[in-house]
Amino acid sequence: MNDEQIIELFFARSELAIRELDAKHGKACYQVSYNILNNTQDAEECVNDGYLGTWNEIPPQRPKSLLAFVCAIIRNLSLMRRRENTAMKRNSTYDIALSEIENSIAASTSIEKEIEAKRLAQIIESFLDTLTEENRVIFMRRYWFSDTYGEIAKRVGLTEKNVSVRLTRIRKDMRKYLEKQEVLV
Amino acid sequence: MTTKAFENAMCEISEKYVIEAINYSKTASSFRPKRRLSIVLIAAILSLFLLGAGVVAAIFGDSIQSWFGHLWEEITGQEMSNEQAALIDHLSQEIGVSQTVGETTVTVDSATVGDDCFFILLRVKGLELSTRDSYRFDEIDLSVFPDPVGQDEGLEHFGFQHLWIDGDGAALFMLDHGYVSEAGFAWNDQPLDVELTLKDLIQSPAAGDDTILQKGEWTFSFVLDRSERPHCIDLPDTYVNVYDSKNSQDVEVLLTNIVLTNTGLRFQYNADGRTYSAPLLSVILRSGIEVFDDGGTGAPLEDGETMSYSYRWMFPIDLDDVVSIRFDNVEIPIPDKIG
Repeated sequence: MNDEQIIELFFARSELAIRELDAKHGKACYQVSYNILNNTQDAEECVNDGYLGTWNEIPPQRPKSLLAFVCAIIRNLSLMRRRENTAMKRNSTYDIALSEIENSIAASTSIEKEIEAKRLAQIIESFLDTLTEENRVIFMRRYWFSDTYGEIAKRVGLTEKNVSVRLTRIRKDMRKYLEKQEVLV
Repeated sequence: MTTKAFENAMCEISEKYVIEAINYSKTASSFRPKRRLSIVLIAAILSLFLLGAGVVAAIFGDSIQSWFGHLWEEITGQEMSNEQAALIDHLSQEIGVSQTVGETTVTVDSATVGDDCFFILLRVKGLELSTRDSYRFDEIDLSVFPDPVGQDEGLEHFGFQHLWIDGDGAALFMLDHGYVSEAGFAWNDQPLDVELTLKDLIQSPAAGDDTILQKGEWTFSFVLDRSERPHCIDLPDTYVNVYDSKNSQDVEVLLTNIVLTNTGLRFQYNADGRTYSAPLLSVILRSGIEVFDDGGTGAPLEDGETMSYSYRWMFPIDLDDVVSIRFDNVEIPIPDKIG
């Protein structure tokens, strides 16, 4: 069953929609959550909550990409759970990716500049537009999906080391871009 | 900016970038081992290559040449030229030693040897392996004799990565080794004795805990022939910027002793005892395609101020096809192609 047909099932309020969604995209959804939480039970619960969220959103929404839509819901739920659970060990792929980016976004002076998340997202998007498609995908797979270097390497047909070097370069370029945009001072 | 601000911004990022990252796929699924190239055909291609003669269809085997051929096509989007194929064959050698522990046979299949680095393809077969999972060994021990940095404070490194499950259900691994000596580079064409020990084969699922798939130890002793020296081109000293991540600024340095080889790039610069971020290096081919480096090693020379580096390309590159190299944003033309 293709995504369009699954979306039609959601519109028809058929519970089969969830089953088909899980059959087709369950593994990818689980991985998005697991990469953030590093815990099987928590990830499964977030995926199930994500399916429920999708059920509540479609209709009226009709997503362009069903997988992107569900992943965004599950990612947000997983991040919320990560924030709530302060006792959680910070050793997931997401935590590692976040620590990588820390140096690239740290201000070089003690003056901190507040910026609204939406505005910062727009600036990051305009930075992403300066990258090649491949580098953009590498960035998103690492800092949105929290994929490991190995997973990214397989997806883009590079070696793990090359992915690592590319990400170092992208982070460096992003830092320069953020400085130019006066996000970092 | 804090990581929290970055985290919040990434939650607001447009769905179009997420969709692009989902749909983008240049996976190694197109990697299908082909027939092994016969020694006679290799000789024929090499002869024609050396004579500068016409076109010969190169069919690689399920060896390290095949993997580099696959990488070439993935990176450049083009079929590999016969000259490029012949070069990889020229630097590659079959090893073919195997050891079986339990149900698992590990084979050291073949190697490609540069003047300060080498790559080895390993094949693991016998168990049911999944393309969805990654595999690794819990411990890897590699020793080479003569030890290129045995007498000094240089740096030796090796990397090991799972590449793919081939058409026969075997897991392919690539081991690469490189070094930088405190005394600088010196060519040695003597055979290199390699001892490799792998312990416990581990399965790393995409999500979930790692598990030991096969407990045991695989030990290999083999010799790498180093008589086929890669081509080298000396490049003029060039000023470039290196990134000082500690102070968030670019610092200008003069690159010296720049040597481009089929397998990588060596250079030195006076770092005043400081370390800078790794640059992104690449070679620009005649077609305009840029091939990036695949990591490298750096160590101080005996004077304590000059840093010496050796970077590797993702696969051996025919230097006749290279018009320039790029060090971050600085392009250095190949001398006979200047003007």
